[in-house]
Amino acid sequence: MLELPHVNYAYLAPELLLIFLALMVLIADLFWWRGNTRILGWLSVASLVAAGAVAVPLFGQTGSTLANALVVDPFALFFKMVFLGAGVLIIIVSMDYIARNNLPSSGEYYVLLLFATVGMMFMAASSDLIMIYVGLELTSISSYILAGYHKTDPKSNEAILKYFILGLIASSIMLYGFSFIYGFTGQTELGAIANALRGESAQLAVVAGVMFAIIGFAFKVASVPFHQWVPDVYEGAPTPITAFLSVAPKAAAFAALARILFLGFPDFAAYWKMIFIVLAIASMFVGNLMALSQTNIKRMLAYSSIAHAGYIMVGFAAANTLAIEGILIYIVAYVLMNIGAFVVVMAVAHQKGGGEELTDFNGLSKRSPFLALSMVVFLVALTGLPPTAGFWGKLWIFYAAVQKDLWWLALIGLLNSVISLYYYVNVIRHMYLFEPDSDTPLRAPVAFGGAIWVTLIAILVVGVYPPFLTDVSRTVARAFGGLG
Amino acid sequence: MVGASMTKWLPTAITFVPLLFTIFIIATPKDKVQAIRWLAAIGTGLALIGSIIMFLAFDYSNPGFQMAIEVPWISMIGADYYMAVDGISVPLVLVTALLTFICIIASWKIDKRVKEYMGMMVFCEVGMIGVFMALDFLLFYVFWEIVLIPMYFLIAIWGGPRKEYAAIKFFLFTFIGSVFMLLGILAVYFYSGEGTFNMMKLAEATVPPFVLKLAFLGMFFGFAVKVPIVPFHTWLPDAHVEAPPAASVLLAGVLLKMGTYAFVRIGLQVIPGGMKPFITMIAVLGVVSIIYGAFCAMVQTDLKKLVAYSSISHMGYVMLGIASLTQAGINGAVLQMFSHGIITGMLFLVVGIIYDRAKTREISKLNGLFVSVSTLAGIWVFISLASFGLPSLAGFVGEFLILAGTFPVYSVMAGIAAAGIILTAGYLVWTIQRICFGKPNLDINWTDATFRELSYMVPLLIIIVVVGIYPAVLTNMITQSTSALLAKIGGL
Repeated sequence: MLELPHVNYAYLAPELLLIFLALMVLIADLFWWRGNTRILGWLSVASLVAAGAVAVPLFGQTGSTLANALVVDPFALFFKMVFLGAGVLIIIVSMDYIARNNLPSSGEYYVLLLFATVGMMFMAASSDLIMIYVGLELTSISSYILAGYHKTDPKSNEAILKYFILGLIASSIMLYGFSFIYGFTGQTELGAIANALRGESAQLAVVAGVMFAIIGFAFKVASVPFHQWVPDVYEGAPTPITAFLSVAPKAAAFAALARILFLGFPDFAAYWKMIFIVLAIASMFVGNLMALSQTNIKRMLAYSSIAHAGYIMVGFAAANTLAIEGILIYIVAYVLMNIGAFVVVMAVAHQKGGGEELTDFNGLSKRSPFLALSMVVFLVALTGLPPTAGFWGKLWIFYAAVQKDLWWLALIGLLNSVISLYYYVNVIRHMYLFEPDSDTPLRAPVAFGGAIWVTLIAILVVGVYPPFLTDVSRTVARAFGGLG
Repeated sequence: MVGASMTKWLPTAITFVPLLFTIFIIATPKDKVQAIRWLAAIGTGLALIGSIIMFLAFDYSNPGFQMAIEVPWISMIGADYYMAVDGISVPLVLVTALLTFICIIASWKIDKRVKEYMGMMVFCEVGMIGVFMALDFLLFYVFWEIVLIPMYFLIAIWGGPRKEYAAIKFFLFTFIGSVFMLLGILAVYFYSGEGTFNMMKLAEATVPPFVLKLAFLGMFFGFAVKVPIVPFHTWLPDAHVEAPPAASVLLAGVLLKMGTYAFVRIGLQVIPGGMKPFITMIAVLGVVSIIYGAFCAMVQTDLKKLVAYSSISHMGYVMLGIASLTQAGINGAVLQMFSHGIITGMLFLVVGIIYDRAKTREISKLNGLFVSVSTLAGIWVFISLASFGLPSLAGFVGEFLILAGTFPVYSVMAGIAAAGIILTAGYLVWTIQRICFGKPNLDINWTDATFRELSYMVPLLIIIVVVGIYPAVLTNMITQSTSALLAKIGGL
């Protein structure tokens, strides 16, 4: 007799609600507001907000359901809020983008974004390899379609093909690794895996399994040497989707990675830390050095996002509680500053004759002082200069590295910030020193302005008074627990 | 007298009033040029009034920190909002507030992108003043970095022909330096085990000597780029020459002092165990800077570059004074920071005025200023004399104290440094001869100093004389703090 596990629906509520509402948006698109960008967009925003509201009562609770396939803890909740927040910002700015670029069937677009968000919520909240994989695939498949949403644009087609094929290979490698782990331990639940491995000497098969899993995730977070898809996809995808891809799935992959490694393989930390040191150094250098020569701002931000994955991986190499805090802070800061920067890019491209080349930013300070000044703040934050949220993320991560005697890795990271300064300032140079091609003032749609204000204020407020973010991160990281 | 409960708000007020006015300026439409200028003048003027009150309210009987405000900032890592002043920082706050205010007045005629210019100038003051009062490492670092961004813009937008190169070079050099500094700060924080960024608590903490030395080397790099000490100086001539006059004044008058101040405040006061093993190296580099800067100044054909190299030379004296670890030497160094800020600030202001008239800074094209613009020439001669240390002017007191303090400990280096004064006198007097005398250049449409220009130069001239004749006005408060400092760390 098959016994059904007891399901605690309260724990599942945010995901279930979001799935339900996403389907409602789909139905609404089908029957009532066919292709109505605004109404469907706001319905999607409302869905995300509703899911967030349902998640709020879970604060402070710890537990699991579905045989640990779904965990409720501060860590999961923290990431869920990040995804939902990012989703809201992205959908708000998508509406004008869709209208401006005549993207087809906006209903699908929103629904895919919502499903991707559901997938990420499962990734961050699951303690079971199978569930993590399912969440990851839900996110990935939605992202593949979204990245190719400019259906008639050859660049977009190339991007999606690359993304799809390479993504599939990465997923297969990850599954292959999972199969090693399952084959050796007979478990897919992370706690059980850790128990099965306790006291075992390092088996080659397990190390290989972990390594393959990391490789799969390294693809998703765009780490060197699994980064080749990034510039093309970021350039070819619709800009809101680029902004989305550059932050949310990355954060989700880091969340899942943290859970797998810290919960499932704490005894193998020596091995995977080494892998992260290599990945971090490679990502920081390749990302930053390649970004130096880019002339397209989306490609530049693509390479810079590779470098940022590198900074975050320094945290994985340090792997103590402080590093977890740092990773959380960094991810929030990164979500804010990257979305902010991409919205400015969208605002510049939104105008007649606008584009996404660096030269399109020429003289932006004259055409729109607000956009230029907020871009300066975003770039300064991406560089990691105080007083912005970006600085505190870097400080935490590099301090964690110093604590673990990885001061040389911290130094490499800091020197990479210096390299990144050059290409970020280059954008500032284009905005402030060059003459604009046309003097027409640049007016951004209200939604863009709103998204920029939100990210701008958040970055500066956290920058001036970091406890707003760091206190939360500490609570979450304490509950999650680091290694030594 | 102002009560203690009031004065503890002074550091905060002086630092953040300019920030408030930056926001006002941002909120003002850019075509309201006159309003923006006035806002900038009022903002920096209020900061100046605040720092004068601070100077007057200074309690000479207290050798420690006063007007202190200490509230938790990021309590989980032990970072506090800890601002206070002592006899070392008050003169520097004063010179910063004074020069920034004067720079606004001197930039009154700038009509290119006024809103951005004034906004950057006033925003820059937040960081510059904050650095001299922050006693928490993280707070200090935040202020230290805040200065970079507006200064980049000031050089890059309103600078000379090679402004972009100079601006990014300045930014990259100082940022690399501060990266090493940050690592040093983190090392001290971590190995002290105190869990606090409070400088004065860290000064009491025990840190392994090896870590202290490494941490100091990291910080040394950050400070040395800022001072700049030869061989970390190459950004300075570019930045100074390309920067607009007012930005040069701030660079030379304030930003360089951030470096030397950090050597005193952090190097000597917080991590003496890290700095003392390298003290001779610092002294040698100081002497190298003196001689190298002076020789480089001698061969310059560009008036502004000459003043820039003279700054390197003068900052060498400051470093030598600090490295002597004697009461007189450190007193002299702090006093020299103050007077060099005023004197070199003046030199850059006059160079700016000359350039405004002549549209050239080539020394060979500027002859006979005494004939064409006698007031300007007179001022130039006066501050040149002050710069090479004519007794009874401000430059003399600092240099004399430095040499007097250095001689007992490094007699050879003191001798070489004294010879450097001759070089200084050499290039400055030679410059006077070349630009002030001779047949005037008739291609240039000369107008003498206007009332507005005199209005901001004359107060500085008065300060130079007052400090020169009665240095106790500053040394009384400086001595308070330096003697307490030396009593704690001991001499060589």
